[in-house]
Amino acid sequence: MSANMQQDDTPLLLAAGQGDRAAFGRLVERYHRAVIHFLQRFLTSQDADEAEDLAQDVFLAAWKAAPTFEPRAKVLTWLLRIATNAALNYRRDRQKRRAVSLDGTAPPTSDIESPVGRALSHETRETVTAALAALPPTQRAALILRHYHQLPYAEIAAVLETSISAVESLLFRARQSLQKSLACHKSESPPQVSPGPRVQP
Amino acid sequence: MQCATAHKLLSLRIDGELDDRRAPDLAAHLRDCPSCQAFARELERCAAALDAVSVSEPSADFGARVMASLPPQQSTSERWTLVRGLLRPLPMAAAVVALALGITLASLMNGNTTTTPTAEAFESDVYAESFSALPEDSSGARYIALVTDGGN
Ligand SMILES: [Zn+2]
Repeated sequence: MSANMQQDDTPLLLAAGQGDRAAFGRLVERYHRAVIHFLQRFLTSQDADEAEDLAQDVFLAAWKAAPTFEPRAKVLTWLLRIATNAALNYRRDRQKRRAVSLDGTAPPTSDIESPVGRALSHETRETVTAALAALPPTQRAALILRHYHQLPYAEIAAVLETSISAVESLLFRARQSLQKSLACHKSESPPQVSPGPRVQP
Repeated sequence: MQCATAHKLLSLRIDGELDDRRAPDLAAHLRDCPSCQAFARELERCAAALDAVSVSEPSADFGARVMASLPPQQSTSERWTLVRGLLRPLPMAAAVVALALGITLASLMNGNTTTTPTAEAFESDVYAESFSALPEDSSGARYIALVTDGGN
């Protein structure tokens, strides 16, 4: 077992694989935000309320699969791989799920935004969200894993079960598409840091 | 360097994944190519625009809901429910399970009325193999292509 790949949370997942519910509870506590936010962004805003239901399925699958976890994988990568598979499958039987979850109450939504996000108009936010939603699912997953979760290419490749060069290509094509989608909204773009000289006080 | 190559390298650079070997070539191309300079600015602009996609705070009781939904880990019935679920899409898993059933029955007929550690360990291995066979059986590309085709 290579020492450099050994993560702090690996023992927790190994313990969960032996039936340790408390250990799994700590993993849920540590990783549920990342999993839910990944799913919210992947499903796009109109499906964001369903992200928690899907995230619950992801953690249930993780609990069941914990005995098969191989310590050379990182816990976050392993969870996001389950989440990605769930998200890709979810699109396929979305209609069925909607019919099932009619009684579900929507969770309270309090937007979390970066300062850049706050500076953008509501219309721009919808434009960007729509552009992200329009990407082919694997390109979207790759871009979300890279941009919001800052996963290295090798880990994105592990999540998507593909090669690093395929990840490079997915990201490049995602950015190209995004650029085309947003090209007509240049006037709404956030104020960029000017490359010009700045006067120091 | 061609502009198409420069565009790909710019995508790597924005992620900090451009290696030192190729960075000088890209920098040299950018100095002489206004078109690629504009492309680089657009990449930065789109990356910044992605920050506009908002997410909401998870429900406070999410963890409690997950924990309440968990079945007991590694109970025999749970394992077999899962294995049975895998039978349908995976003929390979069916073969593995049939083999496991055969060996488990054989060990029972040998006089083991209670589950022996050996049988337990083997059953656990079968479970592990069946589960891990799921992603390995379909390569990422094929799996994704299948799902993409089915979804659109
Ligand atoms: Zn150029």
